[in-house]
Amino acid sequence: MKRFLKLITAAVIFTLAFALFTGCARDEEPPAPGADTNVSAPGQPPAPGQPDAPGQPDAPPAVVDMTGPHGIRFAQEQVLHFVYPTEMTNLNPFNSADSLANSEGNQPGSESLLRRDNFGLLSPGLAHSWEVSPDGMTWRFFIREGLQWVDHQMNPVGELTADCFVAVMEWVLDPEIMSVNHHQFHPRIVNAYELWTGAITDPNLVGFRAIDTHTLEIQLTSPIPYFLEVAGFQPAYRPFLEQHGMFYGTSNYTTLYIGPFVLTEFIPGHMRVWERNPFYWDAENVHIERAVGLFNAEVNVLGPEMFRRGESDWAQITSDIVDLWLNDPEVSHLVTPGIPDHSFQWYFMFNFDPQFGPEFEPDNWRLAVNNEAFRQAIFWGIDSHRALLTLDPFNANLYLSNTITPRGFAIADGVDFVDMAPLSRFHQYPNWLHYPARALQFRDQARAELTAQGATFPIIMKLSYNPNTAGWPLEVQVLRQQLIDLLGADFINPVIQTGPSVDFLTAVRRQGQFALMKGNNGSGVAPGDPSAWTFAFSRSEIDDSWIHWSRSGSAETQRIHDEYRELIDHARTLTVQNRERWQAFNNAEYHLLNHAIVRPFYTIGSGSFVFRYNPFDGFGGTGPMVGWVGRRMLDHPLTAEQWTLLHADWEAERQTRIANTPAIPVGNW
Amino acid sequence: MENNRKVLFSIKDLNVKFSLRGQMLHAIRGISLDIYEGESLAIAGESGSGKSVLMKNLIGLLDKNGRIESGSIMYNGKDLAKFKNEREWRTIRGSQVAMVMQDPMTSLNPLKTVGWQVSEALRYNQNKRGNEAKQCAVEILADVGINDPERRYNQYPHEFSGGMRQRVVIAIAMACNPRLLICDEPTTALDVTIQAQILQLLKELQAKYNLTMVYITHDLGVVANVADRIAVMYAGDIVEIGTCDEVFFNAKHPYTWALLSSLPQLGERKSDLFSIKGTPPNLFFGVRGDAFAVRNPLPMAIDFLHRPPYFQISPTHKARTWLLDPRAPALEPPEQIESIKDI
Amino acid sequence: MLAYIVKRVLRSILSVFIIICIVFVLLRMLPVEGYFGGRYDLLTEEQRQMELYRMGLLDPVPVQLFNFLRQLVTEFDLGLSSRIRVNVPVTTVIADRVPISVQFGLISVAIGMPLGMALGVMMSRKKGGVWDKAGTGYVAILNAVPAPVYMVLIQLYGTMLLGAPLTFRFDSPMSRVLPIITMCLPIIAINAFWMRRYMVDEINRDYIKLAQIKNVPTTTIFFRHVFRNAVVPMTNLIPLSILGTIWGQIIIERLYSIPGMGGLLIDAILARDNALVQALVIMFSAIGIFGLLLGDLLMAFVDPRIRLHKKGAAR
Repeated sequence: MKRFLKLITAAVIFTLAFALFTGCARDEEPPAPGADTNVSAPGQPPAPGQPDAPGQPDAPPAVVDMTGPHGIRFAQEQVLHFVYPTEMTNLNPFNSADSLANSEGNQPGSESLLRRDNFGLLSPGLAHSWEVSPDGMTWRFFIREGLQWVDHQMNPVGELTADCFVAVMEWVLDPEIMSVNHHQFHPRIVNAYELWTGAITDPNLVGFRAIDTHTLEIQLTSPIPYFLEVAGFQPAYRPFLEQHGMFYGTSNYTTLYIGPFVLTEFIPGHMRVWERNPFYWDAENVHIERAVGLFNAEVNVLGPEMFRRGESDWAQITSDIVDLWLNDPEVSHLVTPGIPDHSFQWYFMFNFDPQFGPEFEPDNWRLAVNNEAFRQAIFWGIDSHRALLTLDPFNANLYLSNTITPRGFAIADGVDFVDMAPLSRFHQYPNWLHYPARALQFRDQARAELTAQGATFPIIMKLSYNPNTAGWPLEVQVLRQQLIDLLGADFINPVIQTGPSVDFLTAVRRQGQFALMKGNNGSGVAPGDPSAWTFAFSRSEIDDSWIHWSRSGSAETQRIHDEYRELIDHARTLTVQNRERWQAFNNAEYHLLNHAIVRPFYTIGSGSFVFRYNPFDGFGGTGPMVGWVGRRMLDHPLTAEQWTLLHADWEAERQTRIANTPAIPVGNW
Repeated sequence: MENNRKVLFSIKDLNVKFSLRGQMLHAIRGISLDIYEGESLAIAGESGSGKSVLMKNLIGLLDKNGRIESGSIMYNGKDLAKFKNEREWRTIRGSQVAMVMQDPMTSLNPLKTVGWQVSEALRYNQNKRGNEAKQCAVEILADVGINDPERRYNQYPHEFSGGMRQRVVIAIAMACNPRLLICDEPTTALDVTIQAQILQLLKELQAKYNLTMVYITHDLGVVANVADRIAVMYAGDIVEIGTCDEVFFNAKHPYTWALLSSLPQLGERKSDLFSIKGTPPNLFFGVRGDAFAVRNPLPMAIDFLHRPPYFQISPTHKARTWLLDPRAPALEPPEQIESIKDI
Repeated sequence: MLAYIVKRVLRSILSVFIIICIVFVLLRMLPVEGYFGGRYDLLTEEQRQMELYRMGLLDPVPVQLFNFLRQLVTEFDLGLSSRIRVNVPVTTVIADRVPISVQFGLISVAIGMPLGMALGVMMSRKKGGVWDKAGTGYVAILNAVPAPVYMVLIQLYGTMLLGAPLTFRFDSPMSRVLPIITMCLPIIAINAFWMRRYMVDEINRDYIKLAQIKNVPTTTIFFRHVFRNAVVPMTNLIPLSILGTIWGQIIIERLYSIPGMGGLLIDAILARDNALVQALVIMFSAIGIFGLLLGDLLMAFVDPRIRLHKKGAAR
């Protein structure tokens, strides 16, 4: 018995020791989590009697009218609750290009030279105006005066100057720091690459300098018509940045804030709290007092339930539960469609250089794919509407596209790129380029031509897909069945092949392991500029186009390819962003589609969502983690009816704004 | 019956059945037995004859699937066969009847000291606690022949050899201060040299504390050493019972003859060892006639038809066999057992 | 005994060392594309090589291993996280998460282990009785239904019933109830299962019969002999259960937004955060091995038959 007592005592002591040890494991002294969730505001505006510090925080917004258009009502307490599934890996806005979680996550606390308004259009941010030199090689940005940097407790720390931007350039291009944002600077900016590789060590040689306290001058290696789209340079307060070096942005107290919100609390993997920054230059337009974010990896499952219970103000209703919601009278009227995101496009691509195994008859495929009639048969035979229904059964028409360049992506002189001839000819077909009669015509023609060349029927067409992508497995089944139904199983034999779920692009697309496959790219490489949609078909450094058509082995295809290259190269020489440049790209894209090299499909953004705010208000986006400037929380969920009306208002206003876009001022220096 | 000896336990017509796999096994088939105070009774028989079962009834440790169907066990005016619950048996166990089990290696709790286990018996049977119990336990350990009992008190069973552990088990039994001590094959698991020591110890203890002993064994050699009376059991029945001399030198039941013949004889060189052919009967079905008839090398017809009654051979010796019937032919016991007399 | 402990500890260190070397090498055998996230396509070969060089991944693997070990032993520096929390020391990343996992884990073990053992004892009292059937049913259901399924169901409906927030918040004690209950369920099941088994083993022993013969009351036998003896093999599990709380509970923490250790290793491997993976592997293997050692020591302490000596434990 004594032994037993000794044992129990030892066990208790051991457990306590263990608990104590692990509990005391933290070395630093961050602010206690959860302790102070109220607006902690030691950052008071300068007390009266002190000389007027330049950074006066703006007064809280005046009492607003509590109702909005179409019957929406605003909430008394303007607090936004959201849930996010991926945690930020750092709090450094200029080291965030590698992850959406980081760039979205860091957005509220920072701002760049320009910002996007609620129509997605560029407008002044930290720079109130700008000028470009006549030869297009030099830009000048004029920074607002009197803006203050604040720390996580809202204490003003220093003033924003043009030098802050230069400090970031030096930090990002520092070879020791390995920032992932370095692409923002090279190869566009003079000497940026050289500084980054260490070829030069003097940052003053880089074409990115403060020519006075509030003017930033940028020199380009060549004129870029869409430069404003990529001029999202962010500042940092130099003394603070130098103090922390590579540890800048490792926590919310090793970061300073210049944007509309301040990250007052951050527990990685659990939650973050942003509070309205009264020192922000446009603070009177910020209505949300606090944004509380909860991390949860299972946001797909729990998100909708949290929205119902009021614990979050936004949720995506995924395809497995959308039926449930639409059949539930309590919530069916709240489900709204996603807004098409014209920065990312999907299309069907042929592979002209098949590298797959003999069971798929690559030589036969090579004959077929290089025959234009065959391609045209597939082009007009694909029913992309039916295929997209697998992903979005309700609003597919919002996302489908007749062109590679999305509608609403590039608008110049009041005209949308896709509405310019000759590309606009593709809009005359009613069912998203699905034209059975034409497809059958081309099929017969192809059959005759290919038989003469010695091809065998049915032609095996390898359809690859990534099993991890939501909806793709089902979509490829629908595609296969639909092609067989239309063109006949004796003509075409589409064979579905599951691709690897890891490194899919490397294994399948780069290795030419497909015959027909859905491909995509984003416009990040040239935002707002039609050239963004040409890189997939003509890489400039290595001709590693995604359809491998420079290695087709067919004279006819080679000719089409060369013509395309000519058109693209010519277009790229037109360096002013205007109709002439766009006409050139328009011709190139028409050429591509006319010869059925690629087949357009859809733009992303589909899905069903529920909101407790008006998504069309926010500067910078409609999602829950962006666009908090200008947004107001409602005291009820938005109904689908209200959404439709607000959307219509928004579209109309957007068109008007675009038509009235001012030209970029040309500086006379 | 000896008139000057008191009957301690009186078992009358005991029938015990087990329910096994849905069927009834008739393990004890109408046994009557008197146990006299102070005597040393051996119950001999092969495995499965029911010897352990019979004795377990005296202590209430019958397996859960067994029950007494009829009969009585009288002790001190109480009928043990009618006992229903723990409380009743706790008046008998320990203080009245104790038991020494077969395998000393598993009989002791390995996680408690030997002394503590003895003291536990003292506490629940003689109401001794604390230091008093410890002193008493040490004395008992010395009594059973354990050297240096003070030190040994604090040791664990795995620090004792087999023979020593059995002494400890005996000590525990002694600590209970019983009237009857049942020894269930106490030496089977021990070396031959240790066997003799343990038997000697038991005899001394019996004399010292005036115990009544019942030895359950299949080893007639042990029996010869310690028993006053022997009861031979076969197939749930006592087939012969008498004083040690009577059974050894004047056995009347063929089974007893067979048992005695099976004893390997020292000093004799024979070609084969004697063994009884066949196996004990299956007691699931009723037994017709004499249970041993099947294995009897020289059965009579009536053995298969009617169960023989007891035939008294002497006031202390009786056997259940038709051979003793006046009408039966005279049969000499086999010659092997003649030589027993010489030992 | 002391010599034995020292030898075991040394062997444990050697085991951890071997483990870390193997993991180190394996990590560097994975394709390099993983280090770039989605940016692999955007860089030229030269740029990729430069980034790899700066991450220290271009040296030959033995050189990298030597540098890592040297840094570890001389400066106790396990490096900085490269992906999970950029440039934060991995010890900080881990230290921020350990307390919460340990807290939840210890409470669950403190509640679940006794409850489970009690359930196991009740189950063993009467074979086929009410407790036995109920307990067996409970263990069977818990093992048959996949954990994510019943955990989500508990979360969705339990929070409704209790009026608790769906996820864990530091400032809401109510939000801790369901995660702890959910954590307890498998702990109770496994403890009940093993306890019952050891109890049944004990009940059938000869010395229990002897105790009955000795006139010891049944309840006393049950607790002082059967239970006491059955607990001995159970103690082997106790240190590891306690230390193992540091590993966190991956599913529950994911569901309830608990910023704990569960899932950290997986996330680190997927994100190719080598320094963090290495630190976690060292920590986890050390804890596992140490837990086993403590378990053995505890058993030796509790069971007088076990004598630990140079030749290895008698088990």
